[in-house]
Parts: sequence; C-alpha cells; structure tokens
Amino acid sequence: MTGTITGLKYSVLILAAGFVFSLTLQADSVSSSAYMLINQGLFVTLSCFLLLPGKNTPVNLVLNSALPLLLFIILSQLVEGSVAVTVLFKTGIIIVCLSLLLWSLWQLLDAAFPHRASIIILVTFMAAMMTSSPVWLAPVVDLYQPGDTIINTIIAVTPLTHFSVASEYDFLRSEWMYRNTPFGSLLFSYPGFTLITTGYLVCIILLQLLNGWIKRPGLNFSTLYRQSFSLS
Amino acid sequence: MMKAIKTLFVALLFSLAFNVAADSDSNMDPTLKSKAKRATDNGLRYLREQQAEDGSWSGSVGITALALRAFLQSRRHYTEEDGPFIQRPIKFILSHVKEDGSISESINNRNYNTAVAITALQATGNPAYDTVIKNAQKFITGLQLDDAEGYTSDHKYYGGIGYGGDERPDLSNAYIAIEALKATSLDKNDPVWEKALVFISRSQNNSETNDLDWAKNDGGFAYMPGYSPHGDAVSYGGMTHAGLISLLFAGVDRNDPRVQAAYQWIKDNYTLDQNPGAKHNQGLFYYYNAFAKSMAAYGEAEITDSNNIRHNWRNDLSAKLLSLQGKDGSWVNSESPRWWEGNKNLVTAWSVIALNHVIH
Repeated sequence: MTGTITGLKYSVLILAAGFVFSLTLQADSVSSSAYMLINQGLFVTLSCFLLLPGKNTPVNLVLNSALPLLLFIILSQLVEGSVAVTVLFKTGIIIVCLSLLLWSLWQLLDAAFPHRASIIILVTFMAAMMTSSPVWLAPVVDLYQPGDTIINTIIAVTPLTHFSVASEYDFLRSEWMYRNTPFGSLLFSYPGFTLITTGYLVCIILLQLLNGWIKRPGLNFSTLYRQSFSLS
Repeated sequence: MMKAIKTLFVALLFSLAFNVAADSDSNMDPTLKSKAKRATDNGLRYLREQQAEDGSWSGSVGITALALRAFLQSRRHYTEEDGPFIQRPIKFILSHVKEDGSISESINNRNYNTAVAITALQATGNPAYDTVIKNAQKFITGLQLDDAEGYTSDHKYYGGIGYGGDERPDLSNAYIAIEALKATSLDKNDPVWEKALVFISRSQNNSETNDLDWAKNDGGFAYMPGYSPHGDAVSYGGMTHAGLISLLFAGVDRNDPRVQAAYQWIKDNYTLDQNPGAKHNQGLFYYYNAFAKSMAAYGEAEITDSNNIRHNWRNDLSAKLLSLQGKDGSWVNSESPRWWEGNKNLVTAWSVIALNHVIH
C-alpha cells in the first residue's frame, strides 16, 4: 500500500513534468501524431512501473510489462490523424522492452537490497535521467564538443530515441530540442530499430541471469548486505 | 565550300568574343583562377581517396550526392562514362530510394538528402533517373507545410519545409529544397513556389515585406521566422545568402524589395573572414557555399560594400578557400563542428562546389 501511494505521488510528478514540457513545445509548433505517440509511450511505461505492485516472479514480470502495452493501445486511439500500423507495432515493442528492463532491474535490486520503497524511486530516477540525458547533457556537449561516437552513444541510450525511432520521428530536430540542445545541429545518427530491441533483450537477459544468481540457494545477498552495514 | 568556311570563321569569332566577354565579366585575377582550378583538382583527388568501396562518402546519401555533384559540375565535366568512381555513388544513392519517393539512409535529414540527391542525379544528364527525380520532387513538395497539415496561411510556418522527420521548418531546409526543385525544373506554376515565398519572406528581417511582428530592418535572414541559433532572431551570412538564392530561384525579380534588402545586408556585412553574424564561426563553409551560389545567381561580378570599397567576390572567395585548404586537398572547419562542418568529406565537397561556381 505504501509503495502504491509513493508511486502515485511520483506519477503525479511525472504527469506535471510532462504537462510543462508539452506546454513548452505547444508554444511554437503543432504537435504531430508521432510526438503524441512518444509521449503516450513514455507515460504509460513509467506510470505502470510506479503504480503496479511488484513481485519477484516471472509471471509478475510478464503481466506488469503487458499492461502498459494494453493501456497504450487504448490511448493511441485518441491520437488525431492516421497512424501507420508499423509505427504502433514498433512503439508497442519498445513499451514492452522498456517495461521488461525496468522490472528486471527492480527485481534484481529487490533481491539484493532490503529498502523496497527506495528501489522504485531509484529505478525511476535512473530512467528519468536516461530519458532526459539529451537535455541535461546539452551544456556539456556544447562546451566540450565530443566526437561522433560519444554523441551517438548519448543518443542511442535514451528511451526518447527508442520511441522516436519506432515512431519515425526526428525528435532532436523538434522545435524545443533544436533550440535548447546542440544535438540536432551535430553529425549524428539514430540507431536502427533492430539494434535497439537487441540491446534491450541483451540487458534484460543479463539482469534476469544476475537475479537468478543472487536468488540461488545458499546465497542470501540481502542478509549479507544487512550484515555489512551493521558491521560498519 | 567558301561559304561554309566563312560561316565557321564567323562562328569561331563569335565564340572567341563571347569567351573574352565572359572573362572580362568575371574580371577574375588569372593567377587566382589558375590556383582555384588546381585547388578543385586537389579537393576532388582528396574525395576520390576517401570514397568507400560502395561509392559512398561517410555512408551518407547527402554527403555522397554533394561529392558526386562536385565531380559532375567540375571543370573536368566528369560523366558516368568516366568510371566506377562516378557510377558507384549513383548506385549508392539509388539504393536508398524509398517507396514514398524520399532518398535517404535515415529518418533524419530526409529533405536534405533527397534534395541534394536529385540535384546530383539531374547533373548526370541521364534520363534514366527521371522517374526517381519526379517521385522525389513529390516527396519534397509533400513536406511543405500548408493547409493539408493544418497550417493556415497566417501561421508563421506556412509554406516552410523542414528536415522531414518532424514538422519544424527552417530556411536552410527550404533553400536546399528550392534549389533542388529549380535544378530539376519543377513547373514554374506549381503552387509550391508561391507558398515557399510566404515562408521565405517571413524569415527575413525586413518589416516592409515581412508581416510578422518579430522582423527588424537590416534586410538579412534568420534561420526561421523569429529565431536564429546565434541569438534572438539575428541575421547571419549563411542564411542571408540562402535566403537570397531562395528568392531568386523561386522567381522573384532582382529589383524586388526583398532581394534588394538582402543584397544590401550582404553589402553592409561583406566579409569572407567569418560567417558574419554567426557565433564562433559556426557554419563557415555553409556560408562560403551559399555565398558562391547566391552571388553567381545574382549575377554581379563586383560588390561595393557600405564603405564604398569594391570587391571582386570571385577573387576574394578563391583567395580565402585557397588559404584554408589542407595539404591533403581537404577543407574542414577547425573552429566548430556544428552543422557537420567537422566532416572533411562534406566540407571539401561544399568548397569544391563553391569553387566550381567561381571558375565557371
């Protein structure tokens, strides 16, 4: 129950942040359907992650990753204009992949550390930082002008890119991003959809393997963690 | 027989007189012209060395098309018959033709890539590419923001064209698109020109002809209505030359107040030591490229700046580009990598195209 209330609180925060961001964009441009899909995809994924109860079981992992997809399918009907089926399909895949990744990370941390309430906040914070990295890294990139490889890596790891590639939307050239970050004016390339999904799958498998290793009989990581803290 | 010889003789005299007139028109320093010719040869040699096995440059449709154009429009007049170094880049470009008519390897830069690709394909003079060019024209004109996308004529973006991956238009994309549509002979009566002129006019700091409130009165162009990446909505060199080309290619007369205002800005800010109005010399070679094209299109051999000093722009541009060329024949913007100017293939192709305009 406490976890749900905390989740609700952070969901409201995410909603508020999303609202402010969309206002900034609306000031100068007409939102395209792709832009709406990206927002919906991020919103349902993060909201479900914050609100759904987590259990360290494979069934819970699958169910918690399928629900945001269902919500997205419903919400996408509200988008004006025609949206290609391939775009919906690819966006759906990214939602499932990102959800699986977040829950896998949550399961791993839940198995390893005792502070359950903090874990969800920690994972959400990490997801938020990754998502907004093109914004908060903008001054650094502006100042140090790193090479193409670093630029492409920054672009490749943010979920904004993943949703944008699925929606075939050049988000770095959108009004707000172009004006406020240097990425759109640099030589860059978005990763391909196959590469993105492969990356997600590799990370999810690795996290699940680690989770299984931590939970194996004879190794109580949680107890070890507590003992190490009480000793210190 | 005598009549035929006489006719031939008269034709030769005419041809000679025309060439002399053309040279005196440009009034270019012969030594500089000779050096500029060598510089293009060296630039093309550099590009040849950098060409990938598949014929591309930097794996990009856009850069490949620009490099190809540099070869095709050079004084050597390379053609497909000259060998695989011309045939392969064409094949590479054609391998990226999409069902919607676009020609691009990625979701970003679809307008740029498609536009420069058809400009290069057109420069081959091969009618085999006509269908690809026609479809690409449709793709480019389809990107223009108008009522179909919900933009009424009073919207500041009306008539604009963007990168093709979002809906934000800008003058740079519009100019490249207009150049391509002009090069590929799009019907002069096509509504795309009129709509483009609305957007172009609204990107100019000229309140006499710009109906938006933001416009100041120096006559130069900003990146888009009310915005410049160099602060506020300041006019700068690259965009002002892009704006001037766009106006002329869209069919605006030289005496039109918009053209005259832009030309006045160019006279007031005449320099080749920097991209005037831009921060940290960002977009310097884009400026040189647009400068050469706009000055050639405007058709004056000399510019008299606001201090009453006369400049032969061909001499000045040649001298500047010669001074910036690397020993390997390449060019690169060593001050800023913004707008891809850290990429030697792109910057070399732009510089050769600029010099092609100078020496022709």
